[in-house]
Amino acid sequence: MWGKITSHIGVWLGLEEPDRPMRASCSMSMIHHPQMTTVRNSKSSDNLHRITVSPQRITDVNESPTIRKTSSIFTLRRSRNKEKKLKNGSPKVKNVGEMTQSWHSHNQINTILSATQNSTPEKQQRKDSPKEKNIFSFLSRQSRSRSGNPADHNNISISKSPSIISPLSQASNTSTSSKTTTPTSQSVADFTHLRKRRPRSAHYDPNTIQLPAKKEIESQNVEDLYEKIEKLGEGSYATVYKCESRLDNSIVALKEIKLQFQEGLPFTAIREASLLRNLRHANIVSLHDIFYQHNQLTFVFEYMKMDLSKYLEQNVYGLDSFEIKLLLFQLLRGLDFCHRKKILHRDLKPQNLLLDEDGVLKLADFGLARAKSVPSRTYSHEVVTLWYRPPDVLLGSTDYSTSLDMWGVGCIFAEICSGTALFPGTKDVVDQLDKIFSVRGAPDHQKWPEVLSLPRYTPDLFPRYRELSFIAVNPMFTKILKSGQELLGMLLQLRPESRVSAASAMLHPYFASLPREIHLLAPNQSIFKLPELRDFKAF
Amino acid sequence: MGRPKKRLTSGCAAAAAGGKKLMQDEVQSSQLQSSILLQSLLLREKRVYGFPLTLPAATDGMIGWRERNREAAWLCTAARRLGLGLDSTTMAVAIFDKVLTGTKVPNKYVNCVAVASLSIAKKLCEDHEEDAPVFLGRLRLEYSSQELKRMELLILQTLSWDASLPNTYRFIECLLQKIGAPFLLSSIKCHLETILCDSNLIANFRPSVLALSIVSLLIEATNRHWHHPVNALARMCKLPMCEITRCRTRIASLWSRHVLPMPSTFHLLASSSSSSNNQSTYPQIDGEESDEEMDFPKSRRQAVMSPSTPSPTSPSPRALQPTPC
Repeated sequence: MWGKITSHIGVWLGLEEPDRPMRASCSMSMIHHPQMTTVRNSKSSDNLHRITVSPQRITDVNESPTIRKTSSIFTLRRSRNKEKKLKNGSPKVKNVGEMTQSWHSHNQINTILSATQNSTPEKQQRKDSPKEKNIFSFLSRQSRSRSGNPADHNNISISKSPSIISPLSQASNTSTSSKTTTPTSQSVADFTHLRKRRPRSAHYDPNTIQLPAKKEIESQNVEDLYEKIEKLGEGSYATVYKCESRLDNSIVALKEIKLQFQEGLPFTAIREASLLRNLRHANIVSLHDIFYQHNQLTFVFEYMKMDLSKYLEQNVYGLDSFEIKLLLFQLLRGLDFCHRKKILHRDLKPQNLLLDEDGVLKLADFGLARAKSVPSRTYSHEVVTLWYRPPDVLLGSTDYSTSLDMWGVGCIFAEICSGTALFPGTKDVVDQLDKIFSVRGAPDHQKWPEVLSLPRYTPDLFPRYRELSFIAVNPMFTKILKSGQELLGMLLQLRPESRVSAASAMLHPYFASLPREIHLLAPNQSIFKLPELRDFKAF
Repeated sequence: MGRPKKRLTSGCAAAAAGGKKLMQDEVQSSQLQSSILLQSLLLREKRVYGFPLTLPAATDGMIGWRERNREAAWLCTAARRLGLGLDSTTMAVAIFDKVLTGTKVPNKYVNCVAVASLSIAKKLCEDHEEDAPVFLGRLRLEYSSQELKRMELLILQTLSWDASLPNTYRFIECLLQKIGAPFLLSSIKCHLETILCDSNLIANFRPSVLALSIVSLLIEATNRHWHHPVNALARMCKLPMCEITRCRTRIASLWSRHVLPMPSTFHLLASSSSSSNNQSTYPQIDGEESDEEMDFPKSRRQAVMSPSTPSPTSPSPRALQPTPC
């Protein structure tokens, strides 16, 4: 049946003599085909291969993602085969169009695999070059000839399942096989609908043009993808814009980082990108995309309405008590996720906590963050904005751990209660330490013996401050009740080892009024998914 | 996490009890955290790497394993010269390997790729920031900052900006944390560097397998009954024990080939207490940060060493050998 069809095509295209049927050619894949029996494997190319493939395998061809991806340039031939088969009344005619695929690659080693049009192939006969004495000779060819001489083409049609590809990849080298099995690097434009004349060869279509491989997304300009709406803020090394996507009209925040001519890539950008790629959490801002154009890096973040510092400016006397609880819980939740992955944020402050309309809080700005290493490793002590820097680090400690961030949480907790920063140092480190000790008491050598070994600590530099109760500092702290003040005290411990961890803080009785299921949420679920909190709109 | 909580209580006694409870929670949660990190590292490892590693078609002018080993040795030496930690060195080699296995790199650009990998690793893992010209100057390289930046960008794009790869060091750190012996980390600098420079090991064993094998050798040095904890760790990481055993043998033979004494209790304690004078092993190092290196008396080192010559495929990190473009 197949012989008949191909010879018919040949005759029709004027390529074959009616009495000379096409001969089957050979490829590596066929040699390794388990179900292939070579009827006569001689040096001459008059090989006839008998392949029996069960109908199950043929359906595999249709389902194969690799083959489906390929774009054929043999559209016309395919369609004509279809017509032929329709005339011949082939029982599997419906599958023909989907199964018929051809690959045309310009690899150094041209191995062309194509799924056959025939669903039950018994003999495949194809014309082969009379010059070719050895079936392996095609391996040395540089590229396929487009001369139109069918004798030059080593095309082969076999019915094959994806499993047949693997012996080929072992036989030829890896890169070639990977290209052969995933030929998406070449995009083909099909102009068959414009064709007027018959093709010169059955093996390729002269009216198709091969376009060079291009990654479409990267070639696009950021300005073409996003439209700037307004400037949200400007930092020392980056500017943030609110933008609208031209594709789906979604709102995003673009962070543009200008790269200086002389300097290398800023480490903040590398850290932020690398860390945020692996931190997917409902309380951590998500990084959608990264572009590099015109000596400028652009990070595409999800858009958040405002940051916590702006929100606090609107609420001079602090926030509502339940709101405080929800925000603090979300902050701890996001931070716990980072700390579990051994990542320190190291720059917690209200400006880096973003809020959306629903009251969801997200950690942002991981430029100073780093993966925590062994405890003996030294870090910089110039981390965290002064107001939110813990006393041990202010005293020159460099072997801090997750407790560094927990001090910052305590400061932010106090700030959202009272509306003002708890330790607003105005001058330098000493002034900042003085502010801290005046509230929390001077370091007690009994309770914190390690303080004596800290590089910047001089025992009698500060007055002998007594620890104050938070209500004495600011009466606003009454709104977080006793349990809240207790948690605040645990967060603002002078000795870093005594500071409570994020995971433990979330279990504190202060959060007892929140639904219990809040601890069982998946990382990417917001706390407002819970039915008890769904109706609570913070803003 | 999902524990039911106590009712809201007030009063000093209740607060103190709550505090004690929280401390207990903290101990539990720190153990929980290390296993969470381990699982997420294992998951990422599965996603990022396909083993065994293969280089793209080794045609003329393209990098092969021999060049890779030479550059890895250069990376280790350069990291020592800059005084970087072992985490940066391992990260740099991991980034370098990921680039080499992902794309074809011509031989003449190989050192540039190595320098940019080191620069990225340094920016990720180290806190002290320095400008590109200073960095290049300290390594006595002649690339311009612009070239370095371009290569860094290319590498980051190849890695799709996910540069903090799971590597052997991170696994070792995590596993030692798990068994409560993170102090052993500082003693294996030379040993780990030798492994990083050996493509046979790096290409055939996953970072987790390498890490567990190293950890098992470390435990063996301190305790004869090393099988139990290692078996438990292997089960936790879902790593086949036969692979660990195979890897252990090869690591041990590599160390002996490179004249590195097998870790023993004496060495482990000696290395953590005294500063190093390893200048004889690494004569070209400026001695900026060598206190974490292993310290062995020379006579002992010679007594332990086996007379075999180093394999040509895995040079030890001895000489700074820049191969400029």
